[in-house]
Amino acid sequence: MYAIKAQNLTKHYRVYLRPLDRLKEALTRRPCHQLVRALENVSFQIPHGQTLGIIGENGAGKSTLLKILAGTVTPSSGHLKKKGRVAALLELGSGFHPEFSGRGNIHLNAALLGLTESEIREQEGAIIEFAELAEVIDRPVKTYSSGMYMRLAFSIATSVDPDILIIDEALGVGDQKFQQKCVDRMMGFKEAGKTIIVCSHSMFMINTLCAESIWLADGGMRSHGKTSTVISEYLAYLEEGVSKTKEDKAAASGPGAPMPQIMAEELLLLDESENPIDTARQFQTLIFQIKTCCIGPPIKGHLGLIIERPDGQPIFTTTTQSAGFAPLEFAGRQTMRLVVPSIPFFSGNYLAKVVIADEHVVRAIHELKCEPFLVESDHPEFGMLWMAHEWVLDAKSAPAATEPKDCGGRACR
Amino acid sequence: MVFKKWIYALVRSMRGLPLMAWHWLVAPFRFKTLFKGFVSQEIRGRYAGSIGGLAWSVLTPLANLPIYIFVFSVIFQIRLKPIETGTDSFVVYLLVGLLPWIAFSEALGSSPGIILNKANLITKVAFPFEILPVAEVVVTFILNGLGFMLLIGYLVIKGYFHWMWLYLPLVVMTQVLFTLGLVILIAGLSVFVRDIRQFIGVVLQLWMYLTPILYPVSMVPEKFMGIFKLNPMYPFIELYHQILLQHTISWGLVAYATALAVFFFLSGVAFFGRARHAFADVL
Repeated sequence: MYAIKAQNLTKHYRVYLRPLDRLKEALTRRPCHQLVRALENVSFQIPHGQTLGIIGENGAGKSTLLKILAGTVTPSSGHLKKKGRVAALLELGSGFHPEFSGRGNIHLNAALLGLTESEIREQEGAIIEFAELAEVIDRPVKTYSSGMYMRLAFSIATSVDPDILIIDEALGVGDQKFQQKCVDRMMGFKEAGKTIIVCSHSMFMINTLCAESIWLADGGMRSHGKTSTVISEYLAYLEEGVSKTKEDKAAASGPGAPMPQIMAEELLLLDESENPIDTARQFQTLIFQIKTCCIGPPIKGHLGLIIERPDGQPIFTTTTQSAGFAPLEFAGRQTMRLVVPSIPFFSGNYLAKVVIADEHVVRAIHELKCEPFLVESDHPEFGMLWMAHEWVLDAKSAPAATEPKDCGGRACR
Repeated sequence: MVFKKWIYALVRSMRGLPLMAWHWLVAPFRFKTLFKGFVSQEIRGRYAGSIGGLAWSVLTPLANLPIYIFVFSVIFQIRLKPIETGTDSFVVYLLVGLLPWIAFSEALGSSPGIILNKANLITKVAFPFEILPVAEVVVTFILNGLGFMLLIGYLVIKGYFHWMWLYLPLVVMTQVLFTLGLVILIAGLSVFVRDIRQFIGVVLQLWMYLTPILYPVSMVPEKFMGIFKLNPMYPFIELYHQILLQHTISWGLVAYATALAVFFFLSGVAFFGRARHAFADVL
């Protein structure tokens, strides 16, 4: 079963330099336009419950494709089959009327997205609550801050409970907290088996949300497949472009210079002989190997590593800043390591997380978690981590017969 | 052989037209919530923030009234013969024709913006945008209906009531359909020819002077009558005069008006149906 089946979608726009040319062409039947091939022969299928990412440079046809999928633009040729209710967030708040209250706008906007009156009444409370606008909901929308506006729009759009959700770069809204809520809601959609199509310049988001991705370039499909593969192909292509523009000094500072983007690509656990492991013994040497990738111009920042319990409680956090390093310069692909000569944890599951933060370690730019790793221990003590210790006993209570046990000091060395 | 091609094209586009027309007419009921939303947005949006509110829908049409009365009744000395017009009061005669005209002209005047002003919505959200022109026309007629009801009340007090008035809803419905057809046509056309927005006001002004609102038809010279009757608004305004004041109804005019309404409605529907797919491309 397919939620969306696209066959040879093609969109050509006729661009007229002057409005008069359109009239001329209509009357004389002589072409007076320039043809813009926005989309050329794009075919794909998305099974129910799958998430598809769409990536590509500006002008590659991403928005056109999304508009066709959403149904606002008719393809010049090709077929499109959609099954289920489609909600598209091509732009947040397109239908808002500034003079109306938030509540009034909820009603009209939800109706635009296809909700019936009873559904809207049912959802109203949840929409307001999610947008965190309970106090101001009866004020005209024109008095809202842009963050409030966006929160309301996102809340309405995702309350529709669509079978297919189409999102165009819409999640970069609001403060960190609300962004997180948006991402959580999207993950909820994903878990509920909805089909999601996301278009974004944020590789991190595509990576976390989408199993499969399409890379569009000049209106055509350059690559289609597993997200990690498509992203690395795309990044490699961008990197190539960047190194080219570096050679071409004049172009480097132009408006086309790509936005700096950095991500942690990989976090691996190695033992002392550098073999990847997922189970460690207490007190063995553990190496956290971090691969970073920076697209575009180099960025300054710090690396951090957090070890957490499975419930998210941090046990240990270290950053390159706390270790006294000046901000690191990220450029291209780099590999860095954190070496822990002796891991003091007792048996249990642990999680390591690498964070790339800005140069003041205020804002986390990207985070990557590794698979949980297991620590095995054969020590008689228990708890979370082993501490150096020594019992000092009252001479009378110490039975001379038993040898005081060596408290694992051997293993610590 | 060019004509043959055109006729084929015409026949092809006529197929499915009744169904499309039906869709337009039931759209407000099928998309009830959306329709109600747009109607209330339109009504409240017009007067949002103004103190006068709905009162303006009655007051604005009256703004020009003193000037019309002064110019046409006092300066030009237009005298009405009750045998022909059913009334000797210029104000009554004027209002009976003017209020329906204003409803028509307001709807038509705002029609170029119906699609253009919602460009942002149409390119970003997939929704049945047939709703937009229908809501516009319905709102205009509701708001102007308020003033018309006041006029009706005044006429009743003045003793103009007659059982012929029962035909009034028929004329109103026909006028709504005619207006809707023209509004659909212009709303769609304006997307491609934006100049319409600039000259529609002038056209409406000229059009009004060519319609028997400020003067009785009897004053029109006989040799111009043939051309004069080609004015599509002529039968509607005349029907209002006949029913409300002269207490007669000319079935020929009713047939003419109905034919016009059906023709323009179907043309609008056919054009809009073909052009709507291109809206998002052009906007």
